[in-house]
Amino acid sequence: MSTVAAAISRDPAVRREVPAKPVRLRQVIYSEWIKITTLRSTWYVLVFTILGMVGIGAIASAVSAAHWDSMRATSRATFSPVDTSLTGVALAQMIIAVLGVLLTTGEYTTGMVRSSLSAVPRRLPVLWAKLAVSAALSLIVSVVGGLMAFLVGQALLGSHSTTLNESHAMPAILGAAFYLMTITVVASAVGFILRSTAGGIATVLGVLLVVPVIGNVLPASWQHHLMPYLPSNAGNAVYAVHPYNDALSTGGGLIALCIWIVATSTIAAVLLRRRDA
Amino acid sequence: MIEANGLSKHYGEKIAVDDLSFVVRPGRVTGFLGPNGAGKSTTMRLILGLDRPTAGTVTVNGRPYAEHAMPLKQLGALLEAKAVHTSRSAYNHLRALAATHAIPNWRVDEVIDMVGLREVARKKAGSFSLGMGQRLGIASALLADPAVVMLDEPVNGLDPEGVRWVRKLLRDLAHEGRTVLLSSHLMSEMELTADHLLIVGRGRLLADMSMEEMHESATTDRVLVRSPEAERLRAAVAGPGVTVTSTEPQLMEITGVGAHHLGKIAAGLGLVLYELTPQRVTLEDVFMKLTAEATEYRTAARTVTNVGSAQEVTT
Repeated sequence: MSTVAAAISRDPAVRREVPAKPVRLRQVIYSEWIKITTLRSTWYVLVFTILGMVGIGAIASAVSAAHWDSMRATSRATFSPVDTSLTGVALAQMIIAVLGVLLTTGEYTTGMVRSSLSAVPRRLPVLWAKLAVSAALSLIVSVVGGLMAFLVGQALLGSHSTTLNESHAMPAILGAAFYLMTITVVASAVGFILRSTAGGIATVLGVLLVVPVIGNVLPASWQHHLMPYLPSNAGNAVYAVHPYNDALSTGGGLIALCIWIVATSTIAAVLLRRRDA
Repeated sequence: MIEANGLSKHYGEKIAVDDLSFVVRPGRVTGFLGPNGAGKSTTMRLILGLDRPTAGTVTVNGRPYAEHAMPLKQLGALLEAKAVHTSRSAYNHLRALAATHAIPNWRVDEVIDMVGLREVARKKAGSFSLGMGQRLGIASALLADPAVVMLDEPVNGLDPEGVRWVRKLLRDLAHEGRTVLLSSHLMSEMELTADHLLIVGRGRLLADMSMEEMHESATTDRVLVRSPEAERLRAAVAGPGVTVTSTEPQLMEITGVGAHHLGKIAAGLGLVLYELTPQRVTLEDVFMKLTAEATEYRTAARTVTNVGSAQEVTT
């Protein structure tokens, strides 16, 4: 059957010239887009990210509304309906970090990377394209998830709610989206660096969850110099209306997140160029 | 055309490829032959730029593979290990590769038909059998209609019909003027497909010769004889330079007397023969001979050096 098919399509009379263009970053980005969107796991993770943001935000909002009367005065003073509805970022960051790692380590564990790098043997366009596509997807999903979480949260907060017109609302939602995008990009870069799914997930979740805890036992002067620059704390400074004490300014937080992106992707780039695939 | 010059690859202490120099020319099928672990796959990875050589260079159509504007147009490869994301369909895998070179989707459909994967093209590649995986790999290699086609053990896992199909495909590709490099550890497969051979062992190039040259260089005069009167024949051919081995009664393997001659002897004595088969050259034979020559050469070279230094001492 296939012998016949082969014979037909290899007939010079039937064969057409196969058009192709020099490899350009734009084309590699489209290729990465196809790769990412054709994995069912991508969609599962993105849906869970949104569910996580909306669900946790809804619980936090409902609980706040129900227990408002028993809340302490200090809590009421720093209460922000925006922050409360965005509580789910804490869960979303973990889900989307796993996605970021999987998008790159999946190439290594399946051997796909050999095909990818054979098609783009200069290698770096593959890295930039993958980071760009995962960043874009993450940003879109985070904005959608943030908006939904905000609206659902405000609905549940009842009389303590606010609206999108409030000056803090959109900056917080976009800030949270930028933070989640940062986590995705950093996780993807870490995936390129470690090339192992387990190692990548452990590292990224370690930085997000464990390092802040370890940091708390450091001497206070060290804490002051280190802790604000951790991605989770820098992110908090960017999106929270009432960030934790000691946090960087919003601008400082943005810069810190950008440095994380640049640092991890630079290491990934150097290693990708140097190492055997 | 693929040109390697002093190509070496070390992984730590292990030398996978050792100073390989060769040229793979267009218009013929070049067989890359050697036992498992001889460095064939590593050499192919070096050609593709997936691994960096410890020393030496290798070019595809005059340039390192990575320096081509449209690498997939220059060379299409099937690598031995699977190189497909297991959760993606064959169709989407090929579409993603095609996108890097802006190759239109009709070509993706075309190569899928060409390798006979139409019915399963939308299924996850991870569910593919070894043979289907090989077909997908061949489809990837042919995607951009490349000038050089390089396949690492392509017939592994293929059914007999698939094996014949690959053979014909490679012959056709070479006939169209393309460069075809095919690796295998099976001499029998090479004999049916290749015009030219590069034989490697332990990372070193042992031979670079045409198929005819190989046959001449490695002819054996081993003949398999089956006869109810094997003992009489054994007695008749016995002599210096003749060895007879027997694994079962009535069956002998005779070295040192040609098949023609054996037939005449048997006829002269009126012996019944059930079988008289000149044995084909096997990779093992070629190998034994080539490695034996390589050892001799090295020994000879050492002797010469010794003589040289001895002379230096006397002068």
